[in-house]
Amino acid sequence: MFERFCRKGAESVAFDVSCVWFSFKVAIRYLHVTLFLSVIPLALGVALGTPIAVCRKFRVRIASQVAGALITFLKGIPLVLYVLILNFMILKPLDKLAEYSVWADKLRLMDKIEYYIGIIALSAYATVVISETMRSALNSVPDGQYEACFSIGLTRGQALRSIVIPQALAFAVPVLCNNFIGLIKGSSIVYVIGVLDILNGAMTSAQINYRFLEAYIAAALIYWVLCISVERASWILEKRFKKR
Amino acid sequence: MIQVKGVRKSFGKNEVLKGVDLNVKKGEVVVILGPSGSGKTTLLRCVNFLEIADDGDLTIGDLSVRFKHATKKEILRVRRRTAMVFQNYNLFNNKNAIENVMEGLVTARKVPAADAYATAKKELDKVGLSDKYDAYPSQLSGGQQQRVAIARAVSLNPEVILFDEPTSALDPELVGEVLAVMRAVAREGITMIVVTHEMSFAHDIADHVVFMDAGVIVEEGTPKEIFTNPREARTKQFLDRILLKYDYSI
Ligand SMILES: Nc1ncnc2c1ncn2[C@@H]1O[C@H](COP(=O)(O)OP(=O)(O)OP(=O)(O)O)[C@@H](O)[C@H]1O
Ligand SMILES: [Mg+2]
Repeated sequence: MFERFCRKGAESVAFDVSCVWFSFKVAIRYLHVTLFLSVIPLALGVALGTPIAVCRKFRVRIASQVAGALITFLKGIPLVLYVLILNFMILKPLDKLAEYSVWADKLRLMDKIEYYIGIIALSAYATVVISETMRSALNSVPDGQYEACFSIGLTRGQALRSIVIPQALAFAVPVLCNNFIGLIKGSSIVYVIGVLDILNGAMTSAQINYRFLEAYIAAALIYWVLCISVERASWILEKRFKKR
Repeated sequence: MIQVKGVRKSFGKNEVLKGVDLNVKKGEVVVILGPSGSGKTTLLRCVNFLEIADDGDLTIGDLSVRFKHATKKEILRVRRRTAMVFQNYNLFNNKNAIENVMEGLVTARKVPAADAYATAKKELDKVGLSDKYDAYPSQLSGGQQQRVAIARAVSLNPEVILFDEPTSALDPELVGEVLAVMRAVAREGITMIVVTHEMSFAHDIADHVVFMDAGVIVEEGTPKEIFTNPREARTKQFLDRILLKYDYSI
């Protein structure tokens, strides 16, 4: 079946578009993996990053200091290390635990465990990045807006809901779209722990016909289309949110 | 009646208000004058609890609070009896003119939206913006924004409106329209405390003039007393300087 799409063997050096097409077809089957690996971290990043940003903005005692120190530390770590470290931190103890507990053993041998580790790592990374996005979004609303709210008798909660958050969101949306694009591209890093996503899918096709360049290009094309789509959506969203 | 007694406020080691007393009768317009850094803004902000004063008492009608010990609830009560017009307008950027005026009515006062809309319309008409209901702050000139801000304050029917240099961020040709609106507000009998450097306006509008310097009230009296016959050297010096600078005649 493979030969049908990419007839030429490894001995041929010329670039072959049909091999790109072949790799593309293999890789696209893992589109959902890449989407899950970026959409779930995006959602978790917003859900966890926003309260962290709020804590830091309003200097909530202890929480803001802990979050501040943690974020400052985590911000300086490359994504690939999140993946490798979490992979190690989850798998190694599981191996140990498996000697005592059937439950841990099951977990360890669970289908797609590396996929879940990838999601956890990317979510941690996204939380750090997005908490910073949200913080700058909150900071983009001038103090005068809060003061005007208070002066007309709004409570802090009311001020946040009807004035501050809508304005912060208008600022955050395009940045979040960029964060999302970063996550889509960044998710390809999970190949280091063997998750079958778009990139790894393309690679498996190359392992059959040794057409690595064609496979890379096929993967690049898919990522490119994904990112362009998000960017287009971002423009539309931005127009919606930017009430002048 | 608004009564401020013995208000003190420091920023770090810098004592900005050193025991200020202020009495404002109902319907009165009090103008506060004073050189830059004398604590005028801080005084207004303390009355509205945008700053928490270190000491002193505040009475607004039947509501009395100690600045330092005011609870969240008391602060909210004070804020719902006062309104503030800021130097930089501070209109809500995500809301158009009519929504800016409605916000306090609907969200803080729980006025039904339809009634709030009618009130907002009426107040915007009064400040001459009947053609700008749907305009966002960025589509309005400074003078128009400040007029919306005044409509927003007046619509809440507060016991006092605090004005902090409402015209000093405006281009000179826009000052007049805002002052005219403020005169109209004063004529309605709304109690006002106004910080301004517009001397002829202060002279016309004020029932009572207060001169502050270095965190204390140096002198107070009727406009006539203060402008034409100041007792204190510091007042005289300030008036000479500012009248010379702005070349106003009274
Ligand atoms: N948030 C703050 N933190 C620290 N110092 C402040 C703060 N706000 C005001 N000050 C200081 O308090 C003093 C009085 O300031 P204030 O703004 O009340 O003066 P002002 O009379 O309104 O002056 P201006 O005519 O320039 O508006 C100034 O020395 C100022 O630097
Ligand atoms: Mg001031």
